[in-house]
Amino acid sequence: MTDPKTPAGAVRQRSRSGLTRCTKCRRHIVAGPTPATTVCPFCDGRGGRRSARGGFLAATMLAMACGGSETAPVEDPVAQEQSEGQEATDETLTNAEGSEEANEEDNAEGDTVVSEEPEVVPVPAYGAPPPEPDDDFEEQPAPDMQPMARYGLAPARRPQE
Amino acid sequence: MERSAVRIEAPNELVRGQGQGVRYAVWEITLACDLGCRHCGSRAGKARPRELSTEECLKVVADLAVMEVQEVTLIGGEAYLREDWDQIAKAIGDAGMYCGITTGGRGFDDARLKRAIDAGVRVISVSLDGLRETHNAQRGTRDAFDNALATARRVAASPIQLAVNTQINRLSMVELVGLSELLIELGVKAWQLQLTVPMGRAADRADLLLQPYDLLDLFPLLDWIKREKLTPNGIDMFPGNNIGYFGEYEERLRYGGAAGTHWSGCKAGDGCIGIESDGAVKACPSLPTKQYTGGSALEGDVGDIVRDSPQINAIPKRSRDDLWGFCKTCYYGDVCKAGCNWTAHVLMGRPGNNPYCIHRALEHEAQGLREVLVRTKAAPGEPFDHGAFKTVTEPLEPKTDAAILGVPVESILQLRPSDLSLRSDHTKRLRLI
Repeated sequence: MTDPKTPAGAVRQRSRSGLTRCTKCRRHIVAGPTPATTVCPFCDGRGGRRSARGGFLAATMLAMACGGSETAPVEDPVAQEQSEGQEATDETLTNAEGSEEANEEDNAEGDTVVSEEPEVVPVPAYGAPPPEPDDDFEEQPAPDMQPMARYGLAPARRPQE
Repeated sequence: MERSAVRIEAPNELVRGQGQGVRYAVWEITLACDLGCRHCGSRAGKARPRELSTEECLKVVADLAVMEVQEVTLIGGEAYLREDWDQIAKAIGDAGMYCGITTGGRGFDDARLKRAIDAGVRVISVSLDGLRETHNAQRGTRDAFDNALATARRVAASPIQLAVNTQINRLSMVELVGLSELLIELGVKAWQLQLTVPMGRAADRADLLLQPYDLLDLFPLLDWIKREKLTPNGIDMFPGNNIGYFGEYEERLRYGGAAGTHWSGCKAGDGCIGIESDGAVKACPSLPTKQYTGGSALEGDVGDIVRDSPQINAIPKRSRDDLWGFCKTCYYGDVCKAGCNWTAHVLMGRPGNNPYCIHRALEHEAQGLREVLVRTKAAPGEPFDHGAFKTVTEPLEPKTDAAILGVPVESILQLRPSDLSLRSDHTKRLRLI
């Protein structure tokens, strides 16, 4: 699947464990042979299906931190990022209203829409070819996660020496 | 690009690929403690009947150096209650390893701080589990918070780097914003957070524990704190091994997540080991002693024990075949391997199925469900012991109130370090347990 928001020539990372990040919902997903053949099972590349509860809370905290009322329909940064170029299926926006009915409706609708939508490949008008998909993953994956023991002492962030 | 004004976190030089050997050791040098923490996994208080002598400790230091361990954290009990604690710390530094200390801070006075500086200790992490009342209720003394705070200020004014660690549970979760304000005041560089799990004394207080569905509130809260409070003030957030896994928060909360680092399975025995004060060597300091001790440093070389003991080296070799329950069928099972083995084991009686998982909570939420932990067996009352829990799946009511654990979000966001506690009713109840 081609991500219309990924700039042409952009390279996606593949971790040592074989995971990459969905460019839409940002979840880690199993990388296919190439970025173009990598499919997100969580959002089908549309960025949908976010946590209703988490989205509600994030929006509430953001609204309060900005001095608004607790029910203000404010997007969190991820919601803002994802809302570009997609239909208004993001549960965060509607659930910020705090309506139980709205939540139920959004959950049902969001799940249905996301799971049944066909794969979308953007094709420019007038017959121009679609953007070139990324053809490979970055070959220098990020470091593995470091061990962090209980009892709280994070491995030291060493000063430059 | 939009974050150019702030420092971008990057994993430190300790990072190596998997299977490249132990680089981090957490060493309980005594079980003696001057606090009586309600959630203490080792039920610390009195020293073990047979703890390593100074000579034996120096032999362990030599063993660790041969293994090319890079960093050693001294813990207790309370490490400074051993007379020779700074001698051990100095030996660690002299051997080329990086030495840190984790402390409750009750007695870390000027004299002890000077000894730490002279010994070459590089980092001191002070435990703070909430604001005054909440912290004191969990730590078991009325002066715990003030003393910890004094220690933190002392360390901040010294050449030693200051870190803070915090247990997240039903008492502290709603005070994390207030705590983050305190960290900013203190000049803390690193904040490690971890979920309280039912080991040791915490196993006796199931009402202290978060329910798995509470993670649906915790993760957005941590995300907000990191973004709004910590990052702009140069504080690194280190979610502990039992905070995860995957989902949209992985890249935002995991240390190094923005650079692509993600949870890649429990590091117990593969990158990290734990040593108890009697010499018992485990894959992780938190794992139950009985099932996970690979050998004793009194009887052999620590490196040999790690290499040859299945109790230690079998953990990194686990695969999806070793998982069960939800985790066995999980999309991330091959990489995640059910998260933190310690957490899974003490909750469910054996590793391989971990209900403390945001992805799992989100998957249940998507079906209108939640998991609830119910205790089925009490802990026997020994160091590093545990009882047993089962999960019950039930309908999840939609969230319609702006509250976390019953506390209005507005109150949570307005909490300041000078406030005593948000949940004085709750802390009083805890004292009665």
